[in-house]
Amino acid sequence: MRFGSQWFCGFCVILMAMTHAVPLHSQDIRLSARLTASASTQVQKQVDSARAEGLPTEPLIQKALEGQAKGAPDDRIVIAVMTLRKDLRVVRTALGPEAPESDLVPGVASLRAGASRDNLVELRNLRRGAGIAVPLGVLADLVANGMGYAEAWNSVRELATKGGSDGQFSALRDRAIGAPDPAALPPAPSRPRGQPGTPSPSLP
Amino acid sequence: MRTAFAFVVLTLGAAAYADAQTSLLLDAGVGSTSFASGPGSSMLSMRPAFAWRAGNLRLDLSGGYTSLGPIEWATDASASLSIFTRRWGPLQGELTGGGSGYTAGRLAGAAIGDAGVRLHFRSERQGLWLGAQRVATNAPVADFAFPRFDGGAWGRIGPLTFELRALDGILRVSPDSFPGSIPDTLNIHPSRSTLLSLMDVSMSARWAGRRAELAIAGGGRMGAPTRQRWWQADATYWMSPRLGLVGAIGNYAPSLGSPRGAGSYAMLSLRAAFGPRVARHGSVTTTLVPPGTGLSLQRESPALVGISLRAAGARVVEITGDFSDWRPLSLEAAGGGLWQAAVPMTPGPHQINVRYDGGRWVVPPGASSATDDFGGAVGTILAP
Repeated sequence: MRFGSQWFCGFCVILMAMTHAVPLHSQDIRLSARLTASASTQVQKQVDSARAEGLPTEPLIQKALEGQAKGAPDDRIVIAVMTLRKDLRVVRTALGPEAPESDLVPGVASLRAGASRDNLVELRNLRRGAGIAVPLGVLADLVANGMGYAEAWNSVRELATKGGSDGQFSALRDRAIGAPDPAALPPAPSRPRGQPGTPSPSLP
Repeated sequence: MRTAFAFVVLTLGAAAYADAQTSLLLDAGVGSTSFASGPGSSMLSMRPAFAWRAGNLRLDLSGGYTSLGPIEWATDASASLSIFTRRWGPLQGELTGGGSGYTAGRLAGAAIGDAGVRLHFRSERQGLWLGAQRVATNAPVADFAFPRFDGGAWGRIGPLTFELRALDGILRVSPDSFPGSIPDTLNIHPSRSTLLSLMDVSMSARWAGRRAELAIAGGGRMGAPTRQRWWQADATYWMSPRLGLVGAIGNYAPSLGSPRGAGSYAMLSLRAAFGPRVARHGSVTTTLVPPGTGLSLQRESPALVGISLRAAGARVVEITGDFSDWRPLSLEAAGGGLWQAAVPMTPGPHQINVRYDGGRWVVPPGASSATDDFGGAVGTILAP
C-alpha cells in the first residue's frame, strides 16, 4: 500500500512537470465550430503565435469570427487575421509591453487611420495613468468620418495635453462628427402629413 | 435649362450606385372637413409618401388625393431634393431644391418651386439651420418670384423631438396682378405695388413610444392683416410593424392660393409602411432610416446595454459584433418602426454591424464607419 502510494505521488509530480513544461493550448472551440477545418487550423496557428509573442489573442479570434459571419472566403479570413496580428505587434512595440490589451485594438484602428508610431507614443506619454483606448478610438472615428488626419490628430493631442477625460474625448467626437447620417438633419420645409389636399401653411 | 437637366441626371446617376435606402408610406382615410367660405363635407383621402436616401443625397416625394363630397376633389404633390456637403466640425452645408403643387378641383391650382442653400450647425441631439432660397410660384391670384429665408432649431430628448422654424418671404405684388378683387388677407395698396414681408412661424413636437406616436404642430403667419393661425395633432398606433392607425385633427390657415380660405378637418386613416426594396445595384437590401434616428445606446445594468434604432418597414432587424462573437442578435419591434434589444456589452469601444431583412451587413446609423477587411464596412460604437 505504501509502495503504491509512492508511485502515485511520483506519477503526479512527473505529470505536473510535463504539463508545466509543455503548455497545452487546445484549439478555440469557437474557431473549430464556425470556420472550415483548414481556416480554423491556420487561424489557430496565428493565435498561438500571438500568444507566444505576448499579444492579445481575442481580437484575432473576433476578426476570424467577423469574417465568417460576413461570408468571407477562408483565405481572406486568414489574411485579415495575419494582418491584424502584424499590426498588433507594431502597436505593442510602440506602446511597450506594459500597455494594456484594451489599448492595442484601438491602436491598430488609429494606425490604419494614419497614425504613426510616434503619435501613439506621444499620446501614451500625455495620458500617463489613464488608458488611451478612448482617445485612440476617437482619433480613428474622426478620420473615418472625413476629417483630415492632421486635423484629427491635433484635436486629440490638444485635449490630451489639457488632461481631458474619456468623457471629454467622447464629447469631442460628438461635437466634431455628431450623427454621420445626413438623414438625421431636420427635414426640409414640407407640408405636414395628415392634412388633406389644401395648401399647407407655407409661403406664399 | 440644359445645365439643370444635366445636374439632375448626373446626381441621380451617381446616386444609383450608392447604398440607397427607400421607404414608402401610404395613408388611406376618411374624415370630414369644413371651410369658412363654404359648406363642410365628408372626404376620402389617399396620401403616399416616398423617401429615398443615398449617401449625402435625400429625396422626398409625397402627394395626395382627397375627395370632398360627390363632386369636389383636390390633389397635391411635392418633391424635394437635398444634397449635403461633407461636415466641417459641427457645420454642414445643404443644396436644396424642390417643388409642390395642388389643384382644388375645378376651382383653382397652383405650383411653387424653390432652390437654395442651407447651413446647418448641429450635434447629434440638437441643431440650428439658416437658409436662403429663390422661390417662384404661379398662384391663381398672381405670379410671384421672390427670395425666401428660413431658419430654425431642433432637438431630441429621448423619444421626444421638437422643432421651431421660420420662413420669411419678401414679395412684391401689384394690384394689377389680381384679376378680381384683392384678397382681404393681403394689405396691398389699391393703386401701386407693395412690398410684402410674410413670415410663417411654426413649432412642432413629436413623441415616439413603443407602439404609438404623437405629434402636435402649430404656427401662424406674421405680416398678414388677418388672423392666420393653424394647428394640427395626430396620433399613430402601430398595430404591426407595417400597419398603423392614424387619427388627425387640425385646421388650415388661409393662404394666397387657397380658394376656400380657412378650414378645419378630422381624419382617421390606415397607414401602411412598405419596403424595403432592393437597391438598384442589386446587392444591398436596406431600409430607410427615418430622420433623426441614429443608433441609441443606454446602459441598463452593469452587464446590459439597451440598443435601439429605427427602421421603418423592416420585417427583421439584426445586429452583430464583437459583443456577440459575431453571431446575429435579433432586435424586437417596439412599434412605430422602432427596434430594440438589451445586449451584454462591456463599457468601451465595440464593433457592430446591422442588417435589415437578411440583407448585407452595414454600419448602423450613428456609428463610426471603417473598412472591415472583408470588402465591407464595420461600425464602432462606444458603449456607456
